[in-house]
Amino acid sequence: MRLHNELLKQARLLTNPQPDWPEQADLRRAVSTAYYALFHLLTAETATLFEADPTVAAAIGRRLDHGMRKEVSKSFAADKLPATHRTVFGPQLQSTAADPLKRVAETFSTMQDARHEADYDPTRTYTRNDAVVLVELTEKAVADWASVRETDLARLYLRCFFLWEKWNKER
Amino acid sequence: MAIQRFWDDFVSKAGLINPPGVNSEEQVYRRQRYADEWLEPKTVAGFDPADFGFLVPTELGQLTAAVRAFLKVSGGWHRDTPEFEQLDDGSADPRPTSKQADDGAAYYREALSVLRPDRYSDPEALRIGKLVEREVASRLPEWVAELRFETGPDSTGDPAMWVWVILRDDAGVGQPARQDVTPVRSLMFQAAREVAPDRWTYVRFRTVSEQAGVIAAGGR
Repeated sequence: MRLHNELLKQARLLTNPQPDWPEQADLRRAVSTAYYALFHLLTAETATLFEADPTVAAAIGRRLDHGMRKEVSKSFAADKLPATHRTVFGPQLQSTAADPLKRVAETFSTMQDARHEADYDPTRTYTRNDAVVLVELTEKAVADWASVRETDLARLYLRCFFLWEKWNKER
Repeated sequence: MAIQRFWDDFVSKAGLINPPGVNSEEQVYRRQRYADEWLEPKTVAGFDPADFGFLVPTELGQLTAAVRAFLKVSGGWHRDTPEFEQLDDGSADPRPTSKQADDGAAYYREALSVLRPDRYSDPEALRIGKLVEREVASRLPEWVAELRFETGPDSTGDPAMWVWVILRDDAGVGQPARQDVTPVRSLMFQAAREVAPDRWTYVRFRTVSEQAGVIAAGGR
Protein backbone atom coordinates (compact mmCIF):
# COMPACT_ATOMS: atom_id res chain seq x y z
CA MET A 1 0.00 0.00 0.00
CA ARG A 2 1.39 3.41 -0.92
CA LEU A 3 2.18 5.81 1.88
CA HIS A 4 -0.68 8.20 1.14
CA ASN A 5 -3.21 5.37 1.44
CA GLU A 6 -1.79 4.30 4.79
CA LEU A 7 -1.89 7.85 6.03
CA LEU A 8 -5.50 8.27 4.95
CA LYS A 9 -6.43 5.03 6.69
CA GLN A 10 -4.72 6.23 9.86
CA ALA A 11 -6.44 9.63 9.63
CA ARG A 12 -9.81 7.90 9.35
CA LEU A 13 -9.08 5.78 12.43
CA LEU A 14 -8.10 8.85 14.42
CA THR A 15 -11.48 10.47 13.76
CA ASN A 16 -13.06 7.78 15.95
CA PRO A 17 -11.57 8.65 19.33
CA GLN A 18 -12.02 5.97 21.95
CA PRO A 19 -13.43 6.67 25.42
CA ASP A 20 -10.71 7.90 27.78
CA TRP A 21 -8.41 8.70 24.87
CA PRO A 22 -7.23 12.28 24.26
CA GLU A 23 -9.88 13.36 21.77
CA GLN A 24 -8.39 16.73 20.81
CA ALA A 25 -4.99 15.19 20.16
CA ASP A 26 -6.52 12.44 18.00
CA LEU A 27 -8.64 14.84 15.96
CA ARG A 28 -5.70 17.17 15.41
CA ARG A 29 -3.52 14.28 14.32
CA ALA A 30 -6.29 13.10 11.98
CA VAL A 31 -6.33 16.46 10.19
CA SER A 32 -2.56 16.71 10.06
CA THR A 33 -2.20 13.12 8.82
CA ALA A 34 -4.81 13.61 6.10
CA TYR A 35 -2.90 16.64 4.83
CA TYR A 36 0.30 14.64 4.68
CA ALA A 37 -1.47 11.91 2.71
CA LEU A 38 -2.21 14.41 -0.06
CA PHE A 39 1.17 16.06 0.39
CA HIS A 40 3.08 12.80 -0.10
CA LEU A 41 0.90 11.73 -3.02
CA LEU A 42 1.54 14.98 -4.90
CA THR A 43 5.21 15.02 -3.90
CA ALA A 44 5.74 11.55 -5.32
CA GLU A 45 3.87 12.42 -8.50
CA THR A 46 5.89 15.61 -8.96
CA ALA A 47 9.23 13.97 -8.33
CA THR A 48 8.59 11.15 -10.79
CA LEU A 49 7.87 13.72 -13.50
CA PHE A 50 11.52 14.69 -13.30
CA GLU A 51 13.27 11.45 -12.30
CA ALA A 52 12.47 7.73 -12.51
CA ASP A 53 15.03 6.59 -9.94
CA PRO A 54 13.16 6.46 -6.58
CA THR A 55 16.11 7.69 -4.51
CA VAL A 56 16.75 10.69 -6.74
CA ALA A 57 13.00 11.32 -7.01
CA ALA A 58 12.75 11.39 -3.21
CA ALA A 59 15.56 13.95 -3.07
CA ILE A 60 13.72 16.08 -5.60
CA GLY A 61 10.54 15.77 -3.56
CA ARG A 62 12.28 17.09 -0.48
CA ARG A 63 13.11 20.31 -2.32
CA LEU A 64 9.46 21.17 -2.83
CA ASP A 65 8.32 24.15 -0.80
CA HIS A 66 5.05 23.96 1.17
CA GLY A 67 4.18 27.63 0.65
CA MET A 68 4.81 27.54 -3.08
CA ARG A 69 2.57 24.51 -3.45
CA LYS A 70 -0.18 26.32 -1.63
CA GLU A 71 0.23 29.39 -3.84
CA VAL A 72 0.08 27.25 -6.97
CA SER A 73 -2.93 25.35 -5.65
CA LYS A 74 -4.82 28.53 -4.79
CA SER A 75 -4.10 29.85 -8.26
CA PHE A 76 -5.29 26.74 -10.09
CA ALA A 77 -8.43 26.55 -7.95
CA ALA A 78 -9.15 30.17 -8.87
CA ASP A 79 -8.56 29.62 -12.62
CA LYS A 80 -5.20 31.39 -12.60
CA LEU A 81 -2.21 30.04 -14.52
CA PRO A 82 1.39 31.20 -14.84
CA ALA A 83 1.73 33.92 -17.45
CA THR A 84 3.62 31.72 -19.90
CA HIS A 85 0.86 29.10 -20.08
CA ARG A 86 -2.35 31.11 -20.02
CA THR A 87 -2.97 31.09 -23.75
CA VAL A 88 -2.53 27.35 -24.22
CA PHE A 89 -3.98 26.02 -20.96
CA GLY A 90 -6.39 28.78 -19.93
CA PRO A 91 -9.41 27.41 -21.82
CA GLN A 92 -8.70 23.89 -20.50
CA LEU A 93 -8.59 25.08 -16.92
CA GLN A 94 -11.94 26.82 -17.33
CA SER A 95 -13.67 23.75 -18.79
CA THR A 96 -15.65 21.38 -16.57
CA ALA A 97 -13.13 18.64 -17.34
CA ALA A 98 -10.72 20.51 -15.09
CA ASP A 99 -13.10 20.48 -12.10
CA PRO A 100 -11.51 17.40 -10.44
CA LEU A 101 -8.05 19.00 -10.69
CA LYS A 102 -9.39 22.25 -9.24
CA ARG A 103 -10.92 20.30 -6.37
CA VAL A 104 -7.52 18.72 -5.70
CA ALA A 105 -5.92 22.16 -5.72
CA GLU A 106 -8.57 23.64 -3.46
CA THR A 107 -8.32 20.71 -1.08
CA PHE A 108 -4.55 21.01 -0.91
CA SER A 109 -4.84 24.66 0.14
CA THR A 110 -7.61 23.92 2.62
CA MET A 111 -5.76 21.01 4.18
CA GLN A 112 -2.44 22.84 4.42
CA ASP A 113 -4.08 25.63 6.39
CA ALA A 114 -6.02 23.14 8.53
CA ARG A 115 -2.82 21.19 9.17
CA HIS A 116 -1.06 24.36 10.28
CA GLU A 117 -3.93 25.18 12.61
CA ALA A 118 -4.14 21.63 13.98
CA ASP A 119 -0.42 21.54 14.72
CA TYR A 120 0.18 25.09 15.95
CA ASP A 121 -3.03 26.73 17.19
CA PRO A 122 -3.95 25.49 20.67
CA THR A 123 -6.88 27.91 20.87
CA ARG A 124 -8.83 26.14 18.13
CA THR A 125 -11.09 23.34 19.29
CA TYR A 126 -11.57 20.44 16.93
CA THR A 127 -14.84 18.57 16.67
CA ARG A 128 -15.52 15.19 15.15
CA ASN A 129 -17.60 16.59 12.29
CA ASP A 130 -14.88 19.09 11.44
CA ALA A 131 -12.16 16.42 11.36
CA VAL A 132 -14.25 13.79 9.54
CA VAL A 133 -15.28 16.25 6.82
CA LEU A 134 -11.66 17.31 6.31
CA VAL A 135 -10.48 13.69 6.08
CA GLU A 136 -13.28 12.86 3.63
CA LEU A 137 -12.42 15.93 1.59
CA THR A 138 -8.88 14.60 1.29
CA GLU A 139 -10.11 11.13 0.33
CA LYS A 140 -12.17 12.68 -2.46
CA ALA A 141 -9.17 14.70 -3.62
CA VAL A 142 -7.07 11.53 -3.83
CA ALA A 143 -9.82 9.91 -5.93
CA ASP A 144 -10.08 13.05 -8.08
CA TRP A 145 -6.35 13.01 -8.61
CA ALA A 146 -6.47 9.44 -9.90
CA SER A 147 -8.95 10.57 -12.54
CA VAL A 148 -6.83 13.47 -13.85
CA ARG A 149 -3.22 12.54 -13.19
CA GLU A 150 -2.50 11.61 -16.80
CA THR A 151 -3.73 14.92 -18.20
CA ASP A 152 -1.45 17.70 -19.45
CA LEU A 153 -3.13 20.13 -17.09
CA ALA A 154 -2.36 17.93 -14.07
CA ARG A 155 1.26 17.66 -15.14
CA LEU A 156 1.41 21.43 -15.53
CA TYR A 157 0.01 21.77 -11.98
CA LEU A 158 2.82 19.58 -10.64
CA ARG A 159 5.54 21.30 -12.66
CA CYS A 160 4.34 24.64 -11.34
CA PHE A 161 5.42 23.56 -7.84
CA PHE A 162 8.97 24.07 -9.07
CA LEU A 163 8.57 26.57 -11.87
CA TRP A 164 5.71 28.91 -10.91
CA GLU A 165 7.87 31.91 -10.08
CA LYS A 166 10.04 31.54 -13.15
CA TRP A 167 7.05 31.09 -15.45
CA ASN A 168 5.18 33.96 -13.90
CA LYS A 169 8.12 36.33 -14.39
CA GLU A 170 8.59 35.46 -18.04
CA ARG A 171 6.61 37.46 -20.62
CA MET B 1 -10.30 52.54 10.27
CA ALA B 2 -13.29 54.11 11.97
CA ILE B 3 -15.46 51.03 11.70
CA GLN B 4 -12.79 48.90 13.36
CA ARG B 5 -12.44 51.41 16.18
CA PHE B 6 -16.18 51.45 16.72
CA TRP B 7 -16.29 47.64 16.64
CA ASP B 8 -13.47 47.27 19.17
CA ASP B 9 -14.87 49.91 21.55
CA PHE B 10 -18.37 48.52 21.31
CA VAL B 11 -17.80 44.78 21.45
CA SER B 12 -15.30 45.00 24.31
CA LYS B 13 -18.07 46.28 26.60
CA ALA B 14 -20.31 43.21 26.29
CA GLY B 15 -18.89 41.58 29.39
CA LEU B 16 -19.69 44.66 31.49
CA ILE B 17 -23.32 44.69 30.43
CA ASN B 18 -23.86 40.97 30.91
CA PRO B 19 -21.18 40.01 33.46
CA PRO B 20 -20.60 36.29 33.10
CA GLY B 21 -20.77 33.86 36.00
CA VAL B 22 -23.09 35.87 38.29
CA ASN B 23 -26.83 35.76 38.94
CA SER B 24 -29.20 38.27 37.37
CA GLU B 25 -29.49 40.39 40.53
CA GLU B 26 -25.73 40.75 40.69
CA GLN B 27 -25.64 41.53 36.97
CA VAL B 28 -28.07 44.42 37.50
CA TYR B 29 -26.01 45.72 40.41
CA ARG B 30 -22.73 45.55 38.52
CA ARG B 31 -24.16 47.18 35.41
CA GLN B 32 -25.16 50.16 37.49
CA ARG B 33 -22.12 50.17 39.74
CA TYR B 34 -19.62 50.09 36.89
CA ALA B 35 -21.65 52.20 34.45
CA ASP B 36 -18.73 54.61 34.11
CA GLU B 37 -16.93 51.93 32.14
CA TRP B 38 -19.64 51.17 29.58
CA LEU B 39 -22.51 53.66 29.72
CA GLU B 40 -20.40 56.33 28.09
CA PRO B 41 -20.35 57.88 24.61
CA LYS B 42 -16.97 56.28 23.86
CA THR B 43 -18.69 52.89 23.68
CA VAL B 44 -20.25 53.91 20.38
CA ALA B 45 -17.70 56.53 19.30
CA GLY B 46 -16.78 56.23 15.66
CA PHE B 47 -20.14 54.86 14.61
CA ASP B 48 -20.97 55.99 11.12
CA PRO B 49 -24.01 54.53 9.36
CA ALA B 50 -22.16 54.92 6.06
CA ASP B 51 -19.69 52.24 7.20
CA PHE B 52 -22.58 49.76 7.36
CA GLY B 53 -24.04 50.38 3.93
CA PHE B 54 -23.86 46.63 3.24
CA LEU B 55 -26.65 45.96 5.76
CA VAL B 56 -30.21 45.73 4.52
CA PRO B 57 -32.16 48.93 5.34
CA THR B 58 -34.10 47.37 8.24
CA GLU B 59 -30.89 46.19 9.95
CA LEU B 60 -29.13 49.48 9.33
CA GLY B 61 -32.11 51.37 10.71
CA GLN B 62 -32.22 49.14 13.78
CA LEU B 63 -28.49 49.56 14.41
CA THR B 64 -28.50 53.33 13.87
CA ALA B 65 -31.52 53.88 16.11
CA ALA B 66 -30.05 51.72 18.88
CA VAL B 67 -26.69 53.49 18.77
CA ARG B 68 -28.31 56.94 18.82
CA ALA B 69 -30.54 56.00 21.73
CA PHE B 70 -27.55 54.57 23.60
CA LEU B 71 -25.60 57.76 22.93
CA LYS B 72 -28.40 59.86 24.36
CA VAL B 73 -28.57 57.86 27.59
CA SER B 74 -24.81 57.51 27.96
CA GLY B 75 -24.17 61.21 27.40
CA GLY B 76 -26.86 62.41 29.77
CA TRP B 77 -26.87 60.41 32.94
CA HIS B 78 -24.00 62.24 34.69
CA ARG B 79 -25.72 65.58 34.53
CA ASP B 80 -29.34 64.44 34.65
CA THR B 81 -30.14 62.40 37.69
CA PRO B 82 -27.08 60.74 39.14
CA GLU B 83 -27.51 58.47 42.10
CA PHE B 84 -24.66 58.37 44.55
CA GLU B 85 -23.05 55.67 46.56
CA GLN B 86 -21.01 56.61 49.59
CA LEU B 87 -17.57 55.06 49.21
CA ASP B 88 -15.27 53.92 52.04
CA ASP B 89 -13.06 56.98 51.66
CA GLY B 90 -16.05 59.27 52.10
CA SER B 91 -16.23 60.35 48.50
CA ALA B 92 -19.32 59.92 46.39
CA ASP B 93 -19.52 57.74 43.30
CA PRO B 94 -22.11 58.83 40.75
CA ARG B 95 -24.24 56.19 39.15
CA PRO B 96 -27.02 56.19 36.58
CA THR B 97 -30.50 55.44 37.76
CA SER B 98 -31.67 51.87 37.39
CA LYS B 99 -33.83 52.94 34.50
CA GLN B 100 -30.92 54.64 32.74
CA ALA B 101 -28.72 51.56 33.17
CA ASP B 102 -31.52 49.26 31.99
CA ASP B 103 -32.27 51.46 28.99
CA GLY B 104 -28.59 51.72 28.08
CA ALA B 105 -28.20 47.94 28.33
CA ALA B 106 -31.31 47.40 26.21
CA TYR B 107 -30.08 49.74 23.47
CA TYR B 108 -26.66 48.10 23.61
CA ARG B 109 -28.20 44.65 23.19
CA GLU B 110 -30.33 45.91 20.34
CA ALA B 111 -27.23 47.07 18.47
CA LEU B 112 -25.41 43.86 19.41
CA SER B 113 -28.20 41.78 17.90
CA VAL B 114 -27.34 43.29 14.52
CA LEU B 115 -23.56 43.10 14.83
CA ARG B 116 -23.49 39.56 16.33
CA PRO B 117 -19.76 39.34 17.10
CA ASP B 118 -20.35 35.70 18.02
CA ARG B 119 -21.14 35.02 14.37
CA TYR B 120 -18.95 37.64 12.68
CA SER B 121 -15.49 37.93 14.18
CA ASP B 122 -14.78 41.48 13.01
CA PRO B 123 -16.27 44.24 10.82
CA GLU B 124 -14.89 42.74 7.62
CA ALA B 125 -16.35 39.34 8.54
CA LEU B 126 -19.68 41.09 9.14
CA ARG B 127 -19.58 42.79 5.75
CA ILE B 128 -18.56 39.69 3.82
CA GLY B 129 -20.78 37.42 5.90
CA LYS B 130 -23.91 39.48 5.34
CA LEU B 131 -23.26 39.63 1.59
CA VAL B 132 -22.51 35.90 1.36
CA GLU B 133 -25.62 35.05 3.38
CA ARG B 134 -27.73 37.11 1.02
CA GLU B 135 -26.11 35.38 -1.95
CA VAL B 136 -26.79 31.84 -0.70
CA ALA B 137 -29.99 32.38 1.30
CA SER B 138 -32.35 30.65 -1.10
CA ARG B 139 -29.92 27.85 -1.94
CA LEU B 140 -28.88 26.58 1.49
CA PRO B 141 -30.46 23.29 2.52
CA GLU B 142 -32.69 23.36 5.60
CA TRP B 143 -30.21 21.23 7.56
CA VAL B 144 -27.76 24.14 7.66
CA ALA B 145 -28.62 25.88 10.92
CA GLU B 146 -26.29 28.85 10.75
CA LEU B 147 -23.18 30.34 9.17
CA ARG B 148 -20.30 31.96 11.05
CA PHE B 149 -17.51 34.05 9.56
CA GLU B 150 -13.95 34.91 10.51
CA THR B 151 -11.37 36.90 8.56
CA GLY B 152 -7.63 37.19 8.95
CA PRO B 153 -4.36 36.05 7.42
CA ASP B 154 -4.04 32.33 6.73
CA SER B 155 -1.04 30.13 7.51
CA THR B 156 0.95 31.63 4.64
CA GLY B 157 -0.05 35.20 5.48
CA ASP B 158 -2.56 35.70 2.68
CA PRO B 159 -5.90 37.45 3.33
CA ALA B 160 -8.42 34.74 4.10
CA MET B 161 -11.89 34.02 5.36
CA TRP B 162 -13.22 31.04 7.29
CA VAL B 163 -16.84 30.12 6.89
CA TRP B 164 -18.12 27.84 9.61
CA VAL B 165 -21.19 25.98 8.46
CA ILE B 166 -23.18 24.89 11.49
CA LEU B 167 -25.23 21.77 10.73
CA ARG B 168 -28.32 20.57 12.45
CA ASP B 169 -27.36 17.70 14.75
CA ASP B 170 -29.29 15.11 12.76
CA ALA B 171 -27.28 15.99 9.63
CA GLY B 172 -23.92 15.31 11.26
CA VAL B 173 -21.45 12.44 11.25
CA GLY B 174 -22.81 9.15 12.59
CA GLN B 175 -26.46 10.16 12.27
CA PRO B 176 -28.93 8.16 10.12
CA ALA B 177 -29.84 11.37 8.26
CA ARG B 178 -26.24 12.43 7.73
CA GLN B 179 -25.94 14.80 4.78
CA ASP B 180 -23.30 15.16 2.08
CA VAL B 181 -21.79 18.60 2.70
CA THR B 182 -19.91 18.76 -0.61
CA PRO B 183 -22.52 20.92 -2.42
CA VAL B 184 -22.63 23.33 0.52
CA ARG B 185 -18.85 23.64 0.45
CA SER B 186 -18.95 24.45 -3.28
CA LEU B 187 -21.77 26.93 -2.78
CA MET B 188 -19.92 28.77 -0.01
CA PHE B 189 -16.67 28.76 -1.94
CA GLN B 190 -18.32 30.25 -5.02
CA ALA B 191 -20.34 32.84 -3.12
CA ALA B 192 -17.32 33.95 -1.11
CA ARG B 193 -15.27 34.30 -4.27
CA GLU B 194 -17.94 36.57 -5.73
CA VAL B 195 -18.13 38.74 -2.63
CA ALA B 196 -14.47 38.79 -1.58
CA PRO B 197 -12.26 37.73 -4.50
CA ASP B 198 -9.15 39.00 -2.70
CA ARG B 199 -9.60 36.48 0.14
CA TRP B 200 -9.10 32.74 0.03
CA THR B 201 -12.04 30.93 1.58
CA TYR B 202 -11.84 28.00 3.98
CA VAL B 203 -15.11 26.18 4.65
CA ARG B 204 -15.45 24.13 7.82
CA PHE B 205 -18.30 22.21 9.42
CA ARG B 206 -19.62 21.63 12.93
CA THR B 207 -22.98 20.60 14.34
CA VAL B 208 -25.12 22.80 16.56
CA SER B 209 -24.24 20.70 19.63
CA GLU B 210 -20.55 20.73 18.83
CA GLN B 211 -20.56 24.49 18.39
CA ALA B 212 -22.40 24.95 21.69
CA GLY B 213 -19.90 22.64 23.40
CA VAL B 214 -16.93 24.57 22.02
CA ILE B 215 -18.37 27.91 23.19
CA ALA B 216 -19.35 26.56 26.61
CA ALA B 217 -15.78 25.36 27.09
CA GLY B 218 -14.45 28.82 26.22
CA GLY B 219 -12.95 27.58 22.96
CA ARG B 220 -13.23 28.76 19.38
